[in-house]
Amino acid sequence: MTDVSEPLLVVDDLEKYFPVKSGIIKRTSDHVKAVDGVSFDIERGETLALIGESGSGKSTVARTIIGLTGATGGTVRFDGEDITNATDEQLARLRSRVQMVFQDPTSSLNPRRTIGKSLAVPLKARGVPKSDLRERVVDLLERVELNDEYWNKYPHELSGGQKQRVNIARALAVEPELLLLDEPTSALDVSVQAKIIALLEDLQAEFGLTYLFITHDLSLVRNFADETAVMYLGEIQERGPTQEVFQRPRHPYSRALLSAIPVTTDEEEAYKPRHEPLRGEIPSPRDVPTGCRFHTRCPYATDACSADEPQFVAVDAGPSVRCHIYDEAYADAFDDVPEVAVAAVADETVASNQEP
Amino acid sequence: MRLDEPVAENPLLTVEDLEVGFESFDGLAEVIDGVNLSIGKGEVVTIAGETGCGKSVTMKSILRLLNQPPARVSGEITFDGTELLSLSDREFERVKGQRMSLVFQDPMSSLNPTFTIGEQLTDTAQFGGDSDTGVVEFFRRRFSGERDEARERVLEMLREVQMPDPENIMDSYPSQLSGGMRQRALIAQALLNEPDLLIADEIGTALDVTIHDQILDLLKDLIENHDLSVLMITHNLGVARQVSDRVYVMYGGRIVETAPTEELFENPKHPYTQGLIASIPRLTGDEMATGIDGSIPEYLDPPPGCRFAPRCPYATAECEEARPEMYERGPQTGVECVLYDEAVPASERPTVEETRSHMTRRPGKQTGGD
Ligand SMILES: Nc1ncnc2c1ncn2[C@@H]1O[C@H](COP(=O)(O)OP(=O)(O)OP(=O)(O)O)[C@@H](O)[C@H]1O
Ligand SMILES: Nc1ncnc2c1ncn2[C@@H]1O[C@H](COP(=O)(O)OP(=O)(O)O)[C@@H](O)[C@H]1O
Ligand code: SF4
Ligand code: SF4
Ligand SMILES: [Mg+2]
Ligand SMILES: [Mg+2]
Repeated sequence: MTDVSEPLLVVDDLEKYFPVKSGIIKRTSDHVKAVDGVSFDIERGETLALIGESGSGKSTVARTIIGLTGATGGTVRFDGEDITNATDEQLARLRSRVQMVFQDPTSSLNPRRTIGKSLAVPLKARGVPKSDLRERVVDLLERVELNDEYWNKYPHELSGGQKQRVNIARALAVEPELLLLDEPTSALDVSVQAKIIALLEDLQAEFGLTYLFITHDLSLVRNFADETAVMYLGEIQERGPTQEVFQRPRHPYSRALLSAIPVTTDEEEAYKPRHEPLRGEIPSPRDVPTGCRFHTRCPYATDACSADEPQFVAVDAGPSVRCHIYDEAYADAFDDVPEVAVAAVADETVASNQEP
Repeated sequence: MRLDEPVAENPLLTVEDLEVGFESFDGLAEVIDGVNLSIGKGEVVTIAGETGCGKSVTMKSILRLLNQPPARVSGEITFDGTELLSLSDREFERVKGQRMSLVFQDPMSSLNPTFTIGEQLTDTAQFGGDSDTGVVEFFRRRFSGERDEARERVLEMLREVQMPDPENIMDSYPSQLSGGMRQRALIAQALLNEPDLLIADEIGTALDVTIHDQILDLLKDLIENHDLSVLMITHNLGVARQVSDRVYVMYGGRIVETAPTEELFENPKHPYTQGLIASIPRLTGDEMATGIDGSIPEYLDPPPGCRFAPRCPYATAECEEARPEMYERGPQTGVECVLYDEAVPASERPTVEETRSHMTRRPGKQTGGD
């Protein structure tokens, strides 16, 4: 608790390059730039959603924060302490304050252990006496709305949603402050996903937890996250209050993501930016395009986009965006400046979102 | 039990009273229980529902992809006037090869990793509709000018599915392609024999949203250009709304609701359909339901009446006694729920908003229901 005003988690210019080895002597010939200068912070008790498609580097960000893999650049500060490439001693302390929940509810549970035993492991490690174990496990189960019958069950007897509850309970065992949730509902059906999200909301309200919530599903975080960051090829392209990102997505990639969501009502259809399917596919992070790394797929790209790298700047004191459209200096580069550039939509109505 | 199903006009495929069970040590799992459905010529029809509700088993019974035993399949499946279940395997393969195509859920497992895309698709183009060619005929075709013609056709098809750099892709192995490209290759393969009926199981749902979006756009164009009748299977109701003319909602091995797409989404009737729609996160920022309590039925011992009863906020004793009828509620619209009996006043039928409110904040904590 060094500085009360500092957010619980501060990630600054984080970089994770994986070396690509080739040739007989396995010389490093190249790098996979999985995370390439990512910055954000999360206030205590708040949720930041990290959105992006496969390979954009979301999981790598989380794994680097929690020390499962080392950073190759930048810093991570947790509660005022620099934990970048943490020492073993730091990691041990950190594990009781930061926990991670993974996408696949099955592979993260030991199939040969009952749920009771699985949940007892982290408790024992924290020095909970044997006589109290059962009671504490039942408490944990209750927190995730499972009754004590689950004590004796094995993972294969549980549905995906129930398994994910157990994983959340296990993460809660150490009474952490920060949870890194890596696509915790992607493997689940919508009706089960809705229940897990409701549970996470309740837990946050009850214990003041802070969440980094990773997902590829933009619509999921609409009501859930305070802030949303949209990642593409190792970089954050847009970051801001969730409401803003939804109502006025500024970056062409955020717009594309939003417009591609298949919705179930006309009312929601009106919230989507004009439908513009993206060209091609996400390039390899081994071979990041020059200039703006989104230019190979961007419907608005001009020559300037492949030449110069856009800076990450705040637009109208709102979200920050990495795109030349919002940079005065490039006004001339877009001969027909797409109306997406009009950030300050005076009229807050749905209609204003219909046609960009 | 035979249920009346609002049938498509001029049907290409009809499935009547389909029942599929799986034998196991613990007894017979009665998975598909009296499914009726139809696909009109030129119609795009979706079966939608969550994991394990029986979508893929239905599709596999139509295409004879289940091993019997352990599967037990009964009912009537009629394709353009021909009853399929009574055909010999050989006769069935002929009909299927010439007139139906399937695009699978998992693009990786449906392509052979040891052959190039070009080799596999050219084989389909040459032998696709005719699997029992003799050896001599096989070699004659494979090493004659016909092979070059077939290759040309494949290239053309790859261009049509907007495969990037098709010439190069012909010589690539499946593992060298991205997920989106593999999906395109499979779609191309499915269209090579110019099928009348295309069956697509969770097409593109494993892909990223922007790629999924491209694939759906492509599919819409192809359906139009090739005059296809399509049976789509998806767990994503938004996808069903985007591509189909008519939707069947499946729950616990039964069709619980069917309607033209617009009607289904503007006015969903069955409590399960309503709960499902209410559980989908909404772009408008309206509160999302907290999901449907409980889990799908145990097929070894399914609930005796309505299979949704244990999870339904409106269930009464009547629902637990007997299976509800499929009540007709307008053209091509049916609901299998007692609330839609004529005798029930309309005011007692729930709206999505009511169902949503039942599912929004939990009155008391549930135990273990996912
Ligand atoms: N250990 C590793 N060695 C080499 N490359 C790696 C390693 N881990 C990840 N990468 C690469 O880094 C990039 C980002 O991967 P990451 O798993 O962080 O993506 P993601 O956004 O979580 O994607 P997904 O949605 O598929 O989970 C990918 O190109 C991936 O192949
Ligand atoms: N070959 C099989 N043997 C036994 N049970 C099966 C088999 N295939 C599917 N099932 C069961 O049938 C039910 C429906 O499965 P499926 O049709 O694959 O669902 P989905 O709607 O997700 O496609 C599930 O309970 C599944 O476990
Ligand atoms: S900088 Fe250019 S290519 Fe990049 S997002 Fe903006 S308009 Fe598109
Ligand atoms: S029949 Fe009864 S239990 Fe089944 S959906 Fe209708 S009201 Fe609910
Ligand atoms: Mg990941
Ligand atoms: Mg399936």
